[in-house]
Amino acid sequence: MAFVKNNAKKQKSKMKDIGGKKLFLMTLPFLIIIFIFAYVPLFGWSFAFFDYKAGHKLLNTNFVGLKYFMVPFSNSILRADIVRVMRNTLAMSFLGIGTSMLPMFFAIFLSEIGFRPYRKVVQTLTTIPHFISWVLVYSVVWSLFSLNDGFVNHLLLKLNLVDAPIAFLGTSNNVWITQWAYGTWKNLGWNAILYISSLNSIDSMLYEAAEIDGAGRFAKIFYITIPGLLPTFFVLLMLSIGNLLNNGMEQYYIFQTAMNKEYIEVLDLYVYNQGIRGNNISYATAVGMLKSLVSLTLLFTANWFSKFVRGESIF
Amino acid sequence: MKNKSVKVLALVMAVLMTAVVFAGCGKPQDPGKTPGTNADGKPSETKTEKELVTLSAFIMQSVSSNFGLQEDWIAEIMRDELKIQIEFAPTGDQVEQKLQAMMAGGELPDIVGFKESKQGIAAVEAGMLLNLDQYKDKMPNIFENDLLKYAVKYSRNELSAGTGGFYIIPSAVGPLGATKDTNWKPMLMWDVYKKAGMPEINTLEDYLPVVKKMQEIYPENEAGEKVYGFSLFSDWDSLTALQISTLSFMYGIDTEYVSPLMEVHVSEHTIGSVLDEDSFYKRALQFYFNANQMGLLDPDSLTQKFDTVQEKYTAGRILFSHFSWMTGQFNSRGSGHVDADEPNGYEFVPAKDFKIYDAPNQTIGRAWSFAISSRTKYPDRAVELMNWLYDTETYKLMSNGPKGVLWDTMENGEPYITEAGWDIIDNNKDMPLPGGKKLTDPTTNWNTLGYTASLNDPKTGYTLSYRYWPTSLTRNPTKLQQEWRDWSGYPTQIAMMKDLGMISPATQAINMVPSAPDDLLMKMNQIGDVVRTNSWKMVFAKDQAEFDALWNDIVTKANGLGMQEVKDYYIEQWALALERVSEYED
Repeated sequence: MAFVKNNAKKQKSKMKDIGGKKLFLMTLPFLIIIFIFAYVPLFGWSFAFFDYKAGHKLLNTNFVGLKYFMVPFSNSILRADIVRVMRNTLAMSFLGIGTSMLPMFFAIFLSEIGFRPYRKVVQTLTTIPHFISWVLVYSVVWSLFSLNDGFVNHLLLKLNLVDAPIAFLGTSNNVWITQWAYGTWKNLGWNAILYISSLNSIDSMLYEAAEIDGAGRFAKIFYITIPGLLPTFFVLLMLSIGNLLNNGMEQYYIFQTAMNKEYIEVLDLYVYNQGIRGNNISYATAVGMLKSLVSLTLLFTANWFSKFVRGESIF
Repeated sequence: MKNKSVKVLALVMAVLMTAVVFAGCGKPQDPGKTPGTNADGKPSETKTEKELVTLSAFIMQSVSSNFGLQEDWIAEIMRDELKIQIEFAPTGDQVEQKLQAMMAGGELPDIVGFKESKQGIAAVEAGMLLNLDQYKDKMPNIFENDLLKYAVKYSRNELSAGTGGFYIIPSAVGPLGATKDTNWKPMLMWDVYKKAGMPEINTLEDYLPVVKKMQEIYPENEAGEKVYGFSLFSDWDSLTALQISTLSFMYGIDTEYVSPLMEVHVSEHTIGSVLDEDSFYKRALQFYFNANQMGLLDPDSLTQKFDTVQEKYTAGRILFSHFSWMTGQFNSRGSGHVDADEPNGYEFVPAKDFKIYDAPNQTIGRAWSFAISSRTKYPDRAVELMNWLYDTETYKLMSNGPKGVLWDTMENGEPYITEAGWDIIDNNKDMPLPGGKKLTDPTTNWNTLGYTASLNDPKTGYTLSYRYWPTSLTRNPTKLQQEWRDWSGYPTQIAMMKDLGMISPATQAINMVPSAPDDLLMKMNQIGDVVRTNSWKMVFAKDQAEFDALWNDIVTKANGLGMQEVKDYYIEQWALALERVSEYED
């Protein structure tokens, strides 16, 4: 986004009005798409205030005010549930944010591989998992880790490393870490793509100058590549903070069992388990709205923080 | 020059993309209209000739994974005779959410199949279904059919949202009771049970030592894979762990039709909740907990899905089964087990105190039902289709195939399956008809048809489905069946159940309890979340103390979430259902 802004400034100074109109026309389709797919659906929020039943006109159903917003707090058991779910959501989000420099380092190391075919193979193999659906990932994981037939347990037993098979899937231990690991395995290569492309935009003259000054490989990475990638990193970091509560549900939905539920149930999954599974559209909308409010607050806080510390912000 | 062309290009792109955005909003072409016109665009046939129409159908209860335009042997017949073809919408997982989305969008497909009565009632309330009373004269198979008189009355009284109209057509009308098999029955792997000395089983808990002994005799299958006594799966769970609660049907206790949270004794008509201290559910949890402690429960039970369990049955890796149909392919003749010299397979070995649930005579059908969308473009044709579907001849056609292909009649009119017919049925061959596919493919799209398989055709006196024809019932038994007969001294399992009083005939009232209002449903869902999760934890608990602690946790939480209200509602509604049921029985 920052790049777009810079370009816009240059163009404007050259041929003010015409350039502006042209750019406006070029962005128009995207604005329309955003309007249709991001703003019009906000109308759906009104469902949270009614006893909505599918098939009826919204205004023909009962107006209930904030009833559904109060449900999660109406009862001590539900309150404890919300606390637990928020704990899981935040824990897994922060785990993700804490390790969000991994794709950056991955991209750097990848670009340092001199042998091109090998680099391409590695990049392709790490990007492919992103396109595999979680359902298929689960079946792969299941055949690897299941108790009786799992490859890993078979191997460990045959090598006499363990006495009894290890329950990798149906356990309440290390749920956050293992879920993070599955997610990282799936998305590392994909998330590195952005960094790989920004790597190419770093001025090669800088490297040449550094080489003349006697900088080695690591010095070049440390003094040129990383600082060059940091703006991208911070933009992504800020967006991921805005998405703190949106850690998705597909992965957790598929991996949830009675054993790990206590730790795996994130907000989206909770909304699904409570609202959609129980066919209660109004309740699910209300909880979803609460989530949006929290996300928005977090995003603005992070933005303000970035402005305060680094003097740069995404707005 | 170059700059200008870039500008022009940019403008063109901008316009194109805007166009693309709006292009998606156009109405799709109606595929049903094309076949009626020829290349000149004029109507190709005279007015009397019916036009081929495509009706869309969303059948929630469908068990078919086929969707799209129906292409099988019955589709060809329907195209010829009715000039109707059906496009099935995908169903499978999360059909209820799909229905909600369709209803929220304001339009249902032409034909809808509902899985629960509350879904149909909601659609009636929203004005989305056609009142079939307007088409009375076009549906003689439904309105002037003695077999359906109670079903139609019930639909008017209970499923019309108080309007008294006839919107919803119940399905599976007729006797379901024990004619050949029950849905639930305990089965053990026969050969291993024999080798274990066929110990006597008096009550549910007695299976544990027997199965333990069996596992010692048969610890691995031929492929060297470990064998377990019990293997469960959790993907069918609703409010409770279904695989665990379902054992209740062995004692004539319903934990499904009225509500998964309630336990209804179908013969004695008493009702309680699964969370009562003396509930059967607790006993079942204890049973599987003990099984796990004894190393009999497959530790993958928690994480595996239904398909995996079926594969394990096929591979002979499980010793016990509680559904009569849950045996994978192990019991099929093709697998070679049932006719081996030492026949093997899953066979009925009941505990002496079992009272197996026997489904009621369904004069009002079951909660699965069909309806026509009020927005359909072809109401007359949809009505025609439903009328055809509720013809007993259609039932026979769909379950047995056309006469002369798989079956024929003897001189006295008794129908029988021909040699060629059995060959197709036993070996699951394709139908030798245009369109092909398997015999059962058309039925799986609907799951239930208008009647039950064991209903007697009023015209012939023989059951509608070939499965209960006299010649089918006495057809050459497998060696396994023969051995079982010698062991038990009964010709059929049903005969044994009836003779020993091992059957609990259910009242139809279990199908008549209305679903809870929305507020209560929300609470039930919250309670169910706790029950479901803790149930599995209890089964895999480390020791009895942890088991008890988890149980207390369920009860405390459920009470805090309003379990008493749920109980009160169902106790009241059950009493009402028992009162009303007599209106719908002869």
